Amino acid sequence: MHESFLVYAGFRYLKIASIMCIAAIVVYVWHSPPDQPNGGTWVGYGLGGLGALLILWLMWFGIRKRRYGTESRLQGWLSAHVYLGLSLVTIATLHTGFQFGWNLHTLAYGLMLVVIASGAFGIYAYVRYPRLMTENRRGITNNEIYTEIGELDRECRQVASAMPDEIASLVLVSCNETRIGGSILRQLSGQDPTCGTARAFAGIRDLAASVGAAHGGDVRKLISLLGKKQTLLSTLRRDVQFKAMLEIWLYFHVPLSFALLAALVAHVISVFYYW
Amino acid sequence: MELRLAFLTRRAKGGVSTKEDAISAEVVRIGRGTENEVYLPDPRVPLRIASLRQTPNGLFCESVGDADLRLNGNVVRNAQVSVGDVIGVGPYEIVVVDPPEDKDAAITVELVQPVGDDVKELLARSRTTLSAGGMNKRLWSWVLFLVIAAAFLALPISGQFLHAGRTGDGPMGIKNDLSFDVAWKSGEMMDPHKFFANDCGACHQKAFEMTPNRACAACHGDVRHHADPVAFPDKDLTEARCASCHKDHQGPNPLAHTDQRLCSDCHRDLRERAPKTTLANASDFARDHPQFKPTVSSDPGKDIWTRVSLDDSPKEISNLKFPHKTHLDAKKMRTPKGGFKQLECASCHTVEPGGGLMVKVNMETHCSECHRLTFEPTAPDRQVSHGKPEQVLRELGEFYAARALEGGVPDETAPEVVRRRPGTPLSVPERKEALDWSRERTVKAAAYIFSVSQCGTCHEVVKGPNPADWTVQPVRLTDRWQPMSRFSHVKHRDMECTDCHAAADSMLSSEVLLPKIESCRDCHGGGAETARVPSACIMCHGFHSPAQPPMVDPKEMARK
Repeated sequence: MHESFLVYAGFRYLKIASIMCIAAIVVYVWHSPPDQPNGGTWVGYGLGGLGALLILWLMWFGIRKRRYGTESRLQGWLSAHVYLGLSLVTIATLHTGFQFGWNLHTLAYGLMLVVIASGAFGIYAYVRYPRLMTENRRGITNNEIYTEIGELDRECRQVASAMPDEIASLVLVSCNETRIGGSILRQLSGQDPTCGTARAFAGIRDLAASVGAAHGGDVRKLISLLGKKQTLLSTLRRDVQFKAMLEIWLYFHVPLSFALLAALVAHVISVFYYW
Repeated sequence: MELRLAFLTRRAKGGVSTKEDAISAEVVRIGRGTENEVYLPDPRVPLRIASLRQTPNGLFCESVGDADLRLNGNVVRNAQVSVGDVIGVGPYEIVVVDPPEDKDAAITVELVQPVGDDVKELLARSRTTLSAGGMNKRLWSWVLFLVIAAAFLALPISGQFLHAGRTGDGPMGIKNDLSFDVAWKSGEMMDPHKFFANDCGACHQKAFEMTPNRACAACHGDVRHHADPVAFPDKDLTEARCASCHKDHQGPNPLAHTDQRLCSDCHRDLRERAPKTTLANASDFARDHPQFKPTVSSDPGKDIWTRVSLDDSPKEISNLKFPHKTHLDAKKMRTPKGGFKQLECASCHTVEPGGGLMVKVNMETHCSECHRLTFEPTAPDRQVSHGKPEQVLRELGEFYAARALEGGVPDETAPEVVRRRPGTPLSVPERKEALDWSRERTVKAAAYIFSVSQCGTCHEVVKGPNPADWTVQPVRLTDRWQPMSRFSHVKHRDMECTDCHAAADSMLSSEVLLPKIESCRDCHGGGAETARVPSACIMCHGFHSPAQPPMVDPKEMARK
């Protein structure tokens, strides 16, 4: 049976992460350094070292997941990646000793929080969008929808072949100027305000009254075909939208992780360079 | 016109199939409409686009409506066409060919731009993935990684080489130029260090080396050891790093190690750790701290000072007689001008401007208004100085000699010669008689001055056979009963003096009017106290001892 990465192995990594966080909090509270709590006490160095190792290990996931043939264990890795990644909020915050400033160190901390926040959105996306995508497709594959749209276009052209030029040209607009997705924002919006099919549909509906009685049946048929095409298009566009939502966070998560890696390396070198 | 029409269809495997038709019409109409003689069933073609007519000059092609035609690639409205001409009509090409003998003309029609695969074209127009939409994880990963590594690692490190060796014109030759390593500053510098806050190298002298003591000693060269490094060669003390207690980058306040564990770790059982010590163990002001042991004068003649615990009722031998109780009782404070005066503590005891110690009490300022050093009833305003006995005797002798020689002394018991009209010249025997009288009076006045009525009121006077041998015992008043601790009267100014000092009941100056530690503990707790003033050791005691040698050897600094 399919088991979500969130409940993997009976929340094994949630438990490990929680124990780690609680232990870190207990040590932080118990430890009363001679001056203010900061990253330079032995607890600070400990938490910082743990945090840095966690970050490196979490980034290793990006390499690990590219190795094929270990699907089953990869889910364990993902589960650990999620929970240990979230635990980093506690570990790193305690490492700061709540000392923040306009410097490299707080930049690294801020980048880490943004990376974790984008990852948290990823968890949300993975819980929400696959289900929505399945519901949206209603058991039909995208290929089937594309094929059906092709059929509808052919049918529309056939019906339009005997229609007045204005209508025939609108049908061409529907066939030639309809597109799925587009720019990032258009993909994310799941809509296309310039949709050729929508324009053709509206145009033909407006012309319907002025077309002679001889074409009445054909116009009604066209409107019905274009309406059906629009429904299919919106299904496709929602699919693209869900897929974009499912992926968009990674485009922040991954590059910002590398920004964080650079900041982390600079942070570690700088604090010992100026010990 | 008789026209032969041939529809050409190119097959996928090559070859052309031809479908022929014969048309007989005056005007051959071309278009998408089914009524056209040349029927072009493609939506891209208007219902009626053109027509062909036979004219004396040959075939004439004419467009209908506002559609354009292409004749051999050129856009035309109408044209005379002949064999070999190619007429483009929408996606079709109509070629004029040689007619068979029984026809006037012949054309071939071919769909040269067939409707493509709708699905393929739709997919080609669409961008359904984020990477197709222009996003690129790898590119941005590299860009962000390199930008941050350059700005926050490469530039700060390179900046130090660029600025290396530059000395500034700031105080102590310090430079304070902003450099790229400002991004590394982990926290606000303490206020006293802000004048070189941008010069990281002032303290961080060598890469990957902890801030060395010599960096601190560049300015703070006279900071002393905590204990004698020879008698107590504890590495924690002799080799301690300044920065282990004095950490910067922790905010604007100069921050020393204030945690009392710094002290109590050793002082808790100091006697076991350092048997040579003279100090008692102490670990917490509230729970584990010996009674105060003020340093009092025990033998003022030999200048001997002794530390005695307040529990052992120390006696301060100051050689000064002073009953606080009497002085605070207005009924006993009759002033020379008449009337009574209520003295306050502050009448004599005020805090010195620095706020630490009290201003020293002295005779001239605080006592002489009432304690007038008069000696001659007929000269009630005349006083001797508050000085050494020899000086007092000299002043008395001079006073009476002058009077005797001048004459006119209003004293009926005095000889005639000193009572004579002032200014009358004296013979040699008369001078002797007058001076004999003055010496007699001087001894008399001295006896009075050194009696309990005057000097003896406050001082211990030792009298010999004659006045020249009389001495006043030296007074040893204590400036600081507890010289190894800090106490600020200013910080306690809102309390009453009598809250701590039981002066109102003290009749003897030997009583040490210092409050016991229990009195302080009413308000002050240990370092970790929450319900009283948390008072770590460092609140009263300094770490660095002025009596010890400098922590950083000046010779080592000179070598740098």
